[in-house]
Amino acid sequence: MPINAERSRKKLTSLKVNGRVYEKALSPISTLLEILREDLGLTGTKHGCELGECGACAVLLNDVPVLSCLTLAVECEGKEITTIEGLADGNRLHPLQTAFAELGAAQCGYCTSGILCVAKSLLDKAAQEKKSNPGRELSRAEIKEALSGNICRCTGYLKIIEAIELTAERLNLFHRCEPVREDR
Amino acid sequence: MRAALSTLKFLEAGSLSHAFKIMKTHPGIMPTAGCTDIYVSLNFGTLKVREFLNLWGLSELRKIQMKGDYLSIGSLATYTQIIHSDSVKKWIPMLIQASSSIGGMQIQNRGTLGGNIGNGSPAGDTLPVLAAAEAVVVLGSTEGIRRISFNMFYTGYRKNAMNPEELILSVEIPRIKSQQWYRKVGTRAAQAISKIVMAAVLSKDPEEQQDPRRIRIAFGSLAPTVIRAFRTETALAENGNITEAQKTLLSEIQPIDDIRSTALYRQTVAANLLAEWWGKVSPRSLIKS
Amino acid sequence: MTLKINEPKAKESTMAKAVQWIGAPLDRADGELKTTGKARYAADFPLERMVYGVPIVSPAASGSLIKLEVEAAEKLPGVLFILTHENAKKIFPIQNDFGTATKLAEGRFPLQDKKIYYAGQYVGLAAAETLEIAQEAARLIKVICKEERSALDSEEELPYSYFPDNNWGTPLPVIRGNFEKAFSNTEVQLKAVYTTPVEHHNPMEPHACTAVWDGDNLILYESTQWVVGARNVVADALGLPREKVRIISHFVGGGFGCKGFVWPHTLLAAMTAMHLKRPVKVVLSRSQMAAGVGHRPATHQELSIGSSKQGKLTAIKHHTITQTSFLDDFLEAAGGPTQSIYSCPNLLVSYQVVRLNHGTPTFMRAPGECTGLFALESLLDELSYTLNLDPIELRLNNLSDKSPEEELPWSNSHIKECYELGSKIFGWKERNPKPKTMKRKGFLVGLGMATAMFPGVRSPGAAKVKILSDGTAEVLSATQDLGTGTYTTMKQIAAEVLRISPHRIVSKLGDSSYPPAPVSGGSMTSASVGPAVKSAAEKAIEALIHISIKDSSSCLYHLPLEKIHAADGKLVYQDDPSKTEIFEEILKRNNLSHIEGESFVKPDNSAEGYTVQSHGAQFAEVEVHPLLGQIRVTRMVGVFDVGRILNQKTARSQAIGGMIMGIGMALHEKTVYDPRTGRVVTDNLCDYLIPVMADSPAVEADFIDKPDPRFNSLGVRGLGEIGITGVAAATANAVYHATGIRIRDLPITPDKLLKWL
Repeated sequence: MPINAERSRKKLTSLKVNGRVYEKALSPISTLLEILREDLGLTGTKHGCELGECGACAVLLNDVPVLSCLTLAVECEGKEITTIEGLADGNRLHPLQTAFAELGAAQCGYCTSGILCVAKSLLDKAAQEKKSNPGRELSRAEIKEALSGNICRCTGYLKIIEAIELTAERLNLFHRCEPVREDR
Repeated sequence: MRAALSTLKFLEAGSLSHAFKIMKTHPGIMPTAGCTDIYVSLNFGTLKVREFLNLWGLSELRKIQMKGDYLSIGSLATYTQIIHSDSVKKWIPMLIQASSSIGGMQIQNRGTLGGNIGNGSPAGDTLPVLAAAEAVVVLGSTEGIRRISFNMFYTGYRKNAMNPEELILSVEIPRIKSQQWYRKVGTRAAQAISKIVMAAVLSKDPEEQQDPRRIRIAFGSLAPTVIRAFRTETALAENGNITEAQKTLLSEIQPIDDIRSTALYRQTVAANLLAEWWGKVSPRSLIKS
Repeated sequence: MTLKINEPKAKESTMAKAVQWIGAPLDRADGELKTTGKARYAADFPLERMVYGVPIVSPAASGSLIKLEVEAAEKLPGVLFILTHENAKKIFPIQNDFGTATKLAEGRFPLQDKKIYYAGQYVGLAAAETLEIAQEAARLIKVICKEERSALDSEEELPYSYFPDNNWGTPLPVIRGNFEKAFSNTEVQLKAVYTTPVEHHNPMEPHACTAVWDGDNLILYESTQWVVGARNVVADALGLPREKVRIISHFVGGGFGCKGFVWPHTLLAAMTAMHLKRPVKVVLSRSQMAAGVGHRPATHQELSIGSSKQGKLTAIKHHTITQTSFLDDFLEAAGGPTQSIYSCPNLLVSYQVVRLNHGTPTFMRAPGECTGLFALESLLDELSYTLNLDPIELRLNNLSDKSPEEELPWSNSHIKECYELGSKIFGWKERNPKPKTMKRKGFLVGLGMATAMFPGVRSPGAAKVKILSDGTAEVLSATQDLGTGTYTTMKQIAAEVLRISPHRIVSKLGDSSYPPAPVSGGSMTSASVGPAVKSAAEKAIEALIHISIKDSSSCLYHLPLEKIHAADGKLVYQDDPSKTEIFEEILKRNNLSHIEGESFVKPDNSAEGYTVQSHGAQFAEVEVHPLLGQIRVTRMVGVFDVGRILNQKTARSQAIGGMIMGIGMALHEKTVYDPRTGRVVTDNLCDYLIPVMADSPAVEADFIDKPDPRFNSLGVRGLGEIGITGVAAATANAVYHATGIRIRDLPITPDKLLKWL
């Protein structure tokens, strides 16, 4: 029975995504992924596995990466949701986006949105920590560990790692020992 | 086949006492927090439960704090919180290792210690740590609060000693005056369900040298539940002979073949991990000092 | 330090001060679209009144369908339609053929009968207003089957296997000389069995199709490696004229082979959309992808090698037992590399195929090459230890100027340079040839190598190049960019011909209404579509020259056309370079919005009398934990001779991606079936282990970068697949070198290794 009752229980929900408030009547048990993609038309967030294994659907909830396939939309009320569409500041790309485009870190591009969200959070956190600890720098090992919940099947990860390092370097959060190989 | 979430009922707990009441009045309801494991089961279609109580908002269950001579970690503390907690770092660093080995940042932000305990997977990454630390699980319901030793908590594969209306409130970890060790062996370098996990402690405290409990060893993924290798501990405590202890260990574990590993591998690696740990903690030099 | 990767760098050509755009490490054309979430994949088109479709699958692996109990599902509010075999549209039989571009991935149309061939086969589709309701409806439907005995065990089914008599037209078995005789007379004999498991492509983007009818016109937003093939199959099967079906696949989230041909869900989406007269979106779950969109079948390879004491091969036998479904005669041709790299006068390559109640296998990145090379290159490594020869020397001993298969000269081969450069970059000389001698921080260290190869493949392809009156240009072709970089490389080719910056050129791909192109498989896109783009651009320039010399107001009026060429966005008169006219001037003056050239390029006979094949040398270093058996690849180097490189950056990325996928093959990936039900147990990304970032080692990919002009006008051979081919063997050889243990069964897991450590 409860199926009818439950579905009709749509609730007016207010979601703040990329600074914009969306008022929508939502089924209170829809995942954030489904709402973003199907109701709000924000298809930059990708559906990869629905099981929290691939990281393609990662978004930022109050600046912290979460898997939108394992998060209920109603849980996000009153919080700031940032998706790939909100990473750039107007027309100015986030430095990560620039570096990913420069180095070709997006190959088929399907894992890119999730990876950029997680990487942004990693860099933001390191920048925050640097305030109290001026010597704070990211290491390749730390990047690899933080991003290990995001699967990429195309790039072999090298370009992704290099693009995150390049961004971190530009933000003064990384010291490179060897130069990035310049493709001839 | 995935079950539609719309066929499920999600209730929200406004306060802890409210949560207790709901648990009492809704038999069969499943408490959830980060939902990482629950959604996975739902998506697999393996979960039969249809009613859920969302505890995520109960921030009182998220605290990590010293309480006298033990460390209390709220059941809703996320792995990220644990990884960044100075108290945990000081008190039980192997729990940080275990938490860091789980998923990527996004899972660590949602997954909770209470969820790992409640789910009770034999491969649960933090469980051997809690077993070796002799943690105490604090449970609550409308009937009040009760404590149960973590090593008595599981009664079978994903079965535990909780009453249906109880919630896991926190875990209390007594002080460990000893060296801690944690090791997870998986196929991939990260984001892997373990083939085997081991956590062990060895007390350095001269006062405890006669205490047989100064050595505590726990394994995950070797049995239907996380296990303590009690007989192996005793064997090591008695004479410190690692070869004997390895034999004892092999006689007290009966791992199985599954898609992640083979029984033979698990046996061999359990014995090898034991030897590796024992070699590193170098008990003789510790006793001398 | 400074990084100047931003600005595309181009080589200054010695001739005519022209810029060489081909080969330049140009940034990806779609980089910004993909980093901002604007690139739209098949499931990313929000449409009014969208319907969500979820396939209903068979729980049984064989037998027949008795009925679907749909009542409960139909009662669900929001459920619109349950498509079953009873109400499914009749599908027109078509010729299932690659050559006519009407190839089906699974050689049977869905819902046309009640037969069940594998667990997970579609028996219907639930369509509803939301994805959730559709999922719930699909779950509520009871599929009642009459189950029959299923063929699920390769060994049990061996007596019923068949011996295929050809592979893409090449007669089987392949016989040279007399293997038996030569083998029995040879000085050194080695025999071994190598096995590889079923693997799944698991691209990050699940298969997806959004079907929209507009009257009798059908648009499918489809995740496919072949828009033209999909268009032909869907149109013919639904009985529609081909011009009424349009397949759009602007972006594909990876394919690796499994999106090469049309799978049944695409037809289910189209049929449902036709019935409901609304757009229908079908996205497969990982579990459905495990069952019914292809996989690399398992192989059991029996190899015998005879050699002289000096390391000259005298006899090879390679017998492969592999699997297919009851629906298709797929062949994982693992013997291919054995018959085509090393010269050996006596050879026997044969196959035996077992039918199982599994879904139909399909091409997965380097099908046959990477499974076969695992076996061949492992056994050569074993032989090198038997003979006490350096593994590279052994390989060099057996190379020839002529292809062993066709006994023709190579169109262009630099395999020796691959070994040379590869061993230099990798530091092969540092290797102590004795196994189990190298250690680092408590780990056993091993170095291994293997040859990589992939045949040169090309097909007819077409493209159109437009020069617009604003001085920009467009390249149009119904090829598709799976993430490989086709958007970028095609405009580089056009830029080089048109002599304008590639930043002024847009590539428009992934639409079946553009000039036709072949499947993006077999590493053939660059070699097939590239020459068409080049030729189309040349035609566009030629057309422009024709206009200018007939234009009395042009300074080029009546000048000889052969003396006019394009340079820097202008037409220039060779004998008097002051006589120039920019493209847009000519077009504007003649009231033309654009001028275009279109070209359909078929493989010509310039490569006749030659064998076209790419080669490479791959090196791996592993660390093995002596107590836990855990294996980490710590370093990898690959050097490839793949003809001319179109874009150093995208090429290197492709090669590295293939090499990391090779680590998956070597160490992690294995599909497990439930032996009782035939269902895939590892039907998710948690149990099917794809390498994660923490698994990726220090990796180097390099190219010889010498054009193969006999193969096509660009001298390009393609490199989508070669990167993976030698990795499993190189890794296995490194593991042997580290431990003295030879694992002949992939993946090389700690369990298998530790038994012997």
